[in-house]
Amino acid sequence: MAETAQSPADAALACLAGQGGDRHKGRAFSSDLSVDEAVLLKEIGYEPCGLVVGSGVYHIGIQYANWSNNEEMVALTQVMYQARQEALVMMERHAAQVGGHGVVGLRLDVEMHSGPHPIAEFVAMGTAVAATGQRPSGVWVSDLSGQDLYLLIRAGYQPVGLAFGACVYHVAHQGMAQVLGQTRQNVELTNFTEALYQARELAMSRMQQEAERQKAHGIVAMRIEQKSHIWGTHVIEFLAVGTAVRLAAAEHRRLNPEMSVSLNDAAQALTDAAAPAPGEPAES
Amino acid sequence: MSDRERDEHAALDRQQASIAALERGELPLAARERIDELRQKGAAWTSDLSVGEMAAVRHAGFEPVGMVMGSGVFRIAAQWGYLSNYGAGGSSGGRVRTYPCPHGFGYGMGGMVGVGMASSEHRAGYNWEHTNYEAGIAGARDAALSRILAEASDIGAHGVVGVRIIRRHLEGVGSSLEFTCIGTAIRRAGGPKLRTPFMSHLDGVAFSKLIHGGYVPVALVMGIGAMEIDPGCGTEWQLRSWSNVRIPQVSDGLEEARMLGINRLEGEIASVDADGAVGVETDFNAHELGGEAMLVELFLLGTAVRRFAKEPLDEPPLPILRLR
Repeated sequence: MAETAQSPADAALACLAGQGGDRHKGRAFSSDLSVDEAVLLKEIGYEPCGLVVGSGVYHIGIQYANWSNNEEMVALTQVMYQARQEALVMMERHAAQVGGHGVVGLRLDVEMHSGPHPIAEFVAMGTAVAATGQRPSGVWVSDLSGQDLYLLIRAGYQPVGLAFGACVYHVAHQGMAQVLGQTRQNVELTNFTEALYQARELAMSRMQQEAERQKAHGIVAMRIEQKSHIWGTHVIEFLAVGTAVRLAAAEHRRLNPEMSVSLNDAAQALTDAAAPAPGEPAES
Repeated sequence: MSDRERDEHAALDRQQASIAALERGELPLAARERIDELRQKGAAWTSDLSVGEMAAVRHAGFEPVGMVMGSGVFRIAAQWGYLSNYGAGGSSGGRVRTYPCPHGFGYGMGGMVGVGMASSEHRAGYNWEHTNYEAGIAGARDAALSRILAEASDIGAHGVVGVRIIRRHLEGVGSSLEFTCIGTAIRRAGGPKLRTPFMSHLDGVAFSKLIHGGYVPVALVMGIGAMEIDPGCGTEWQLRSWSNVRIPQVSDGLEEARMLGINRLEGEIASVDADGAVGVETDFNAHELGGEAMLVELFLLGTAVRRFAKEPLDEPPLPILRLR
């Protein structure tokens, strides 16, 4: 790298010494973006404008299901969906307050605390970004990383929002006679298979409907989370979640990736694998 | 005096001299001596940069000078319940929110509704900020940062990269806290002397990308929010309910702790005249405090950056399909 008088290092130090630099205008932002993400987002015309968060704490009551039925736990599905929705709306409001046009790297977490009074905290957290160029209407939300978003936008797509669907399902217990009759065989537990199918399909179709309501062309990076939280083995929540996208350009733009073969081969074996990651407390 | 006694005396004197130096706001002897050694002409530099980080730091136009460290252990002053603070005439200046008993009984001790005394059945709930705890963490952090910066300026560095933060409670939450930071000091040969060296918790590779992306790190910035939630009878009724309901008091407490943390982080960013912070790490904890009360704490830590070039300086990134 040629180190001329105008090298970035000198420009950086001059800026720190209080001499010049093309400073950012507007309020100071916080962001949990990595450097790669921040730099890539800058390439596609977005600058971070703040860490945004929305959360709500709910008491999750008890819902009794019929012991021997496969059925949806409607009240639980409702609260699991609504609570996330409210956290998201709260976060979007926060994003609009700090002047954001979108939220990247969204994390949608639920933390359940069992105990005498089971409570659940629903948190939506991400980094709000503002478009430096033309301003899209409304705040879009995406759980994609900055890298993914960079590729997506370069390929001609625009994120529309988060699409998600939830379904809490009760899987029937088998009768005693049935269990005894099967102890010496390998058999498919068809009630389980059927229930998991049903619940997964419900969650996915709800997610799909949400995307359609937002007039999206598709959903990328979709995933299904399957958790029992605090409900034991027979009550399972399925959460289908992804980023709804729309093709903004006339057609999909090819990125023509360069192919590369890494010459690094297991170089990590030489370094201390037990060293703590940066920022992590090291235990002595 | 035997040799052994003499050695012990010498060690004790050294220890006291170190403590005296700390109290004067200087570095302890052991650190002082190591730094002096590093400053000598021809001294070997030390660094914990990996080979890749080293190459990246050199690519950005900097070179390593030496490892630097700063540490501080603080005792955190006790802070009793909100009501005892209230009775003593104030709540230590933090955020407070009251949740009156929905049946109009008991508002706590100093309340306005105070028809009957508060009972275990009917009492108000309080969300209140643990200002001492927050100030204690900030104090330990300030001590550690000022020491690492003193070491870095003494060896003529322009900044410190790859700063690792060790934050731990030595004797349980709310008593004593250690705050330590360790990193590699770097310098730009012939660069202007800075009043305060910059600091970054990002590694050498990220530092290099940041410089080439038109940003320069300024300082480590932190935000903390700590709220205690003492549920009132209204909240407890909701906790025992059979239906699925939102619990306003607990929701508010958590929201408040989070907003305090984020706002303080942004305040610190502005106070070092930076444009923003990247790589913010969040650490959210809830500690049970006995009874139904809990202490929720959000700790944020990031690298404040200043933008010195509007456009990224390098060629745009090349999409690559890794074949292995």
